[in-house]
Amino acid sequence: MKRTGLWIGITIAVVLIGAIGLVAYRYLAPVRVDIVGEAEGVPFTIETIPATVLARPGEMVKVVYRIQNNNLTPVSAYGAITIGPAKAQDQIEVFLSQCGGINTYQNTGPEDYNVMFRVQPAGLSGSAHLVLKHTFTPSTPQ
Amino acid sequence: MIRLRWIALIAIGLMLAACAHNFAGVAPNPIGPAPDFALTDENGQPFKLSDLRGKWILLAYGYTHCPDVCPLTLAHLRDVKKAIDPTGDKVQVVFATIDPERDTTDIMRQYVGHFDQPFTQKFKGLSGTPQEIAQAAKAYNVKYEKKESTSAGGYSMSHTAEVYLIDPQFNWRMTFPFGVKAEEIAADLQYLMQHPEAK
Amino acid sequence: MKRLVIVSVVLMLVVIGAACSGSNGTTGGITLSDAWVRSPVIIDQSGAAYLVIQNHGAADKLQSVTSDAAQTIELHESMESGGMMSMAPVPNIPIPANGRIELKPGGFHMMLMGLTRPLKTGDKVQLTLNFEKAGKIPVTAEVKEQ
Repeated sequence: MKRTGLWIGITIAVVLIGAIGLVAYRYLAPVRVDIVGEAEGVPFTIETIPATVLARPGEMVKVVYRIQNNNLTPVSAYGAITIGPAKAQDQIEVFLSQCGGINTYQNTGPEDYNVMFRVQPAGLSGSAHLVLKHTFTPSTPQ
Repeated sequence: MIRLRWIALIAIGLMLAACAHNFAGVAPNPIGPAPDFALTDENGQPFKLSDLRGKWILLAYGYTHCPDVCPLTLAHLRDVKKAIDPTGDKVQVVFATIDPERDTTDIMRQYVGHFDQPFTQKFKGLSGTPQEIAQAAKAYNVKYEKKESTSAGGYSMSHTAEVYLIDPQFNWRMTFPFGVKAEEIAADLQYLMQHPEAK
Repeated sequence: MKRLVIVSVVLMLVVIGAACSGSNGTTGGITLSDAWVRSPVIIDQSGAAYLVIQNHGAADKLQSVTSDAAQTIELHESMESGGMMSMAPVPNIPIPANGRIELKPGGFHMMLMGLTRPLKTGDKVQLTLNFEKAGKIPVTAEVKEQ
């Protein structure tokens, strides 16, 4: 009788510690963020530097979109920011995006555009793997 | 029991990692000397940013006709100085206009004078000719544009609204985007003051 | 079992009652609260006013604001685009159904132009917000130093 009780106790303790460990991990561990750029209807070559980051929750991160306009003349484009997966919309806060919104992209070679953001931890209902995407479409200059 | 020890070690490791300071700003890579520029200060005197070598400098650009963003930035800088250096002269706030058409030296003196009332070390409010302003803005990659508006308030300016932190050795240490809170800037400044080698 | 049912019903009524109570400035489904005004730093320039709009009903729109403290009040939005902060007048501010919109620095705000009197910290300013469906709702804003 006593030994069964002891085994049950140990099992519960191990499960609890495992659960607490997992929750702690979800709240403290860095979140992987893929930095993606897509050109739709604009002749851009886009490189993201770095292409993926391990962002510590609460720490401001800066990434660079290196965008080259391959056209012979300047092109005006709109950069739309989307965050995936859909349930993780509020997990990233983008403070600044130099290639977000309407910008005119010169035809004189690649230019660097800074993006600064901060992530919240995965927690109980979030995601440990996020995607930060800029999609560029043609626009009229402002 | 071995499993328990491993779990405990991992948990402690994670917590220690989490306790390392999270910066609210980003440091230039690599960290290097701060760009210098020359403008006219709020007393009409010629001023170079490098005149402030030896102090921690909090530098921001904006314009006085901005009813929303710029007063918030100045309020944040006032709060940072209040938290870190309320009676001293170690932390110098500098505000430079990107609207020299409307922001004369007199206007800049009134504007920063509103925010530096609690301090003996007054804020610098800088203006200049459009060419001097263009040079000063370019130094810190500050973009600005006049936006004609149907508003009765006249034209507004689009502008980079970051805060730049320069250390007493005149190195550019940190950039804070708009939206970072005063407490966060103060925490970063405090950390850098205590850990001069940190990046 | 009966006690459980009674307790559950009472709890439900308390929760519903709490959810339906409003703070200052409630009409129909809209509650206004935490209204404050930032006095312009340079006299003759514009001030800004902010508040929280809580909507308990159908979707609505804030169309205009009037006050005896300013000749003209416009609705503006500050936003970040291309690495720059900019500001533009907006024709209205949409308030989603059962939603909460906060007018705060760096976002939507009311721009007060042509102030009829100097505003000092602690002064109270009467604002009347005009909603498309909910109509005119008054609120008292306090002049605050940020």
